[in-house]
Amino acid sequence: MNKVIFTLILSIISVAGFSQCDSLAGSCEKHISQKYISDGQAYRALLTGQEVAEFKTTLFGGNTYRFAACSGESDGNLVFRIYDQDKNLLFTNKEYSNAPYWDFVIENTMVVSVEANLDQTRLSSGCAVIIIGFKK
Amino acid sequence: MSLRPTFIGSMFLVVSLVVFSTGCEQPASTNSTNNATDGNSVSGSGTVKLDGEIISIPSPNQLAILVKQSNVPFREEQLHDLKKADYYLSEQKKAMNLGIYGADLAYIANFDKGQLANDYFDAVGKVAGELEVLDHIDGKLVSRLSNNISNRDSVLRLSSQFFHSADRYLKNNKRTDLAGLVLLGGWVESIHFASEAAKTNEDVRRRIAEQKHACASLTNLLKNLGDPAMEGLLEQMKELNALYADFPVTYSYSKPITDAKEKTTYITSKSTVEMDLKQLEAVSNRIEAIRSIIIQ
Repeated sequence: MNKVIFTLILSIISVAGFSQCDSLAGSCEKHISQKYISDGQAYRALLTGQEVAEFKTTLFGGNTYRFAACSGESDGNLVFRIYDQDKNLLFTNKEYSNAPYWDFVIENTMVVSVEANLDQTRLSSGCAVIIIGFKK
Repeated sequence: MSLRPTFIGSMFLVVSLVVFSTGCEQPASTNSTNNATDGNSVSGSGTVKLDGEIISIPSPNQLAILVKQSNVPFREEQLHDLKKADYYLSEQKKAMNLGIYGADLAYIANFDKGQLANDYFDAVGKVAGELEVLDHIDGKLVSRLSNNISNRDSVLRLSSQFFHSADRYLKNNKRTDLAGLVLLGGWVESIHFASEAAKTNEDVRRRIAEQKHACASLTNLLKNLGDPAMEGLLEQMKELNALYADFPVTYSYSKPITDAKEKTTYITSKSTVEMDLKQLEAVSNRIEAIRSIIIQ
């Protein structure tokens, strides 16, 4: 019986998490203005405490990208960092009041690592969403 | 029977938890014990891979725009056969061909081919409908896309929103595998178009050479699926990866410049990747082999 209850808890919380991420991904799109085209993907994770979410992506030279980072019901809850392949820090929105979006002008193509975590002074758990758009 | 009160009590707790976690995020002052991870893997260091093994693939729109800028003329024969839109039986094939038709739509839109765009939007809708994705995409978005099919900018933006919605729906329903296969189809089709343009345009050739990371991510996706039906495709992708491994790459870090007022950072690091015409031909042949498997 305990296993059943545990499974139920996990299943229902998971469904709730998906629902939370879905609505957040929708509202985060407001930061990708008409000048930008989304890459068609929403990068997301449910985070707790100090957990860090990460993914790698290629940014192509000669393009301008917009990163939008959202968690919770207000802007500024998600801290994100961008590193190059040698782990040099290229940018963090932490230095700019956790700005919910930022633009990047890319001179040469590069693979970057994107890391995100919750600003624990504002949120201790929640869905994290990052959306990337490129300028038309 | 004696367990019933405990079970009911537990269910009450569960429902309370769900209402709490759906309605609002937990404020920083509470001690969270919610370890739900949305299907993500959490390592000992507390690092979460977004959506498990998240893959980030460049939008087919980006390559389509570059192909258009290369002044290589539009070639309708490069598009996937419209008649095949209702030919595929498995979910995997449908997902990959949804990506293929989506990339076709991006290619067509860049060359302002209104009627053709309409036909390929129908094909996208048909395959998306069979994957039960269409029912979950905002009807207004679909009708706006349909009404603006002759407007290049609108098609690029709205089709991107369409695929964004499809991606969200599939991931919400724990079909991250299908969401990944849509990306695979779109990526293969966009390289298929670009390969032709790359024969005469160095910028396009470089852009194909820069797809190493995307190729590796998509290969990992197929490997992780562990689907015997995808074995042939996986082998071809591994071969493609091996080709990419041979391209000489250089990188040197340069300190970025940030304009805080404009919320813009200029990334000025230098990088190069080289691919000669012979290597392009090898990549192109492998892409055609992969595409044949997907569309057959």
